[in-house]
Amino acid sequence: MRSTVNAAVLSLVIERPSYGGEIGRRFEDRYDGLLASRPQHVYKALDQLKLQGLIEPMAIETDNGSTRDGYRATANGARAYRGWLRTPIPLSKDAPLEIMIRLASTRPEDIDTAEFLLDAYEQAVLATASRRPVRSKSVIDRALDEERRVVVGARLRWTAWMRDELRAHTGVREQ
Amino acid sequence: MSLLVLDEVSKRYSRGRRDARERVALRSVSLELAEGEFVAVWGEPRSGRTTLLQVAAGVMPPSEGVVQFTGKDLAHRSALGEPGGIAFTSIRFQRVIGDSALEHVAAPLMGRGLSVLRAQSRAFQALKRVDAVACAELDADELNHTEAIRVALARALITGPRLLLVDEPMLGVPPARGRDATLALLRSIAHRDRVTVLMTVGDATELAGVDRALSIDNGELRGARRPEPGRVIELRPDRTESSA
Repeated sequence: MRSTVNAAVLSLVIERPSYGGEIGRRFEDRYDGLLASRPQHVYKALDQLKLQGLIEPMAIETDNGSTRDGYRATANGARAYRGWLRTPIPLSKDAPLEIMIRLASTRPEDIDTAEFLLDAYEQAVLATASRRPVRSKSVIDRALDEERRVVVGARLRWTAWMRDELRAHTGVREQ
Repeated sequence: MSLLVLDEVSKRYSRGRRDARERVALRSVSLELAEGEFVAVWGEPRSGRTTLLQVAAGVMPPSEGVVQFTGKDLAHRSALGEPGGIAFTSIRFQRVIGDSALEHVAAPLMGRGLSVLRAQSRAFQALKRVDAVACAELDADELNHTEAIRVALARALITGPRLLLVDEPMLGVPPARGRDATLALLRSIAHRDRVTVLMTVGDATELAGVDRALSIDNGELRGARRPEPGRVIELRPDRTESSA
């Protein structure tokens, strides 16, 4: 799947079959700060996913008992979703963002995928961290270096926290 | 051939005498280091980072797995402190060895058939290599952190090791210029002198400029190899049904 927005929308449909407006609201909540998208992008993604046979129409019952036209995932959609989550991610400066989007699209019970993404995230951050700093000449150069380093430090601490969380979740932590 | 190879190394400690439980410090760690490589391992306290260096140095035998230096199993023959062997850098300076930095740096050469004068002459050269000649006559307890790590590196390098192990070299070193200068020195030891450097760091800012940055957490070393693609799991039919 080439479009990250399409993949993200597909993951929301897989999580819970629904209609456009509700999917749009969940999209905003789930990918806040990760993916900027307007409602029309979500509708466009739904159209494309339907054309590709990854989702199909179904009637969705709303809270007030009425029904609305909505979508559910097809078996091909479920396969495409799984394939997208596990596609290797090249080490680049954009990798952490791509990985966070996939993590936001991961089901909470799918610990294997969360661990796979966490490993990839950490590799990307370590690769960034090992980049040779600009030979500091001015206070601005040093400030930029320092900001980059602080971000890397925070990201690595986050990976350690996340691993603790996953261990606690799976109950494999050693005494 | 790799200079140092750790193959599926695990290390367990017993937790005191009253408590028979074990603590696992290293879990199936595999690592290969090439000549002249500058490698850093980032980890939080109690992550297993210091144990990794101790096992790599051969001062602590692994509970499982093999550690090889130049193709030889360290369980059979130690290479620590040997010319062309392994050096472990420590900033602890025991007063019984001497007072001045020069005496501490010369200490590893004593008992090797060298005169004191010759040993101190080589110590002076080692201090020059790490840009710490000004510290030669200072007492070890007069050294600040930046000077102490340089003197410690000189002491480690004086035996002509091929592998240098350094535990948290930037601990206490002031950020920015002091830290960058120490990193530049370690990088030049690896790249110019072709001495492989394996160091641990507790701060990600200390990874800048290394050839490989690894991480260790709960005794698991990561980044030693590129991560393999994950296994694609087919969704169960019932899962698809519930979603659809």
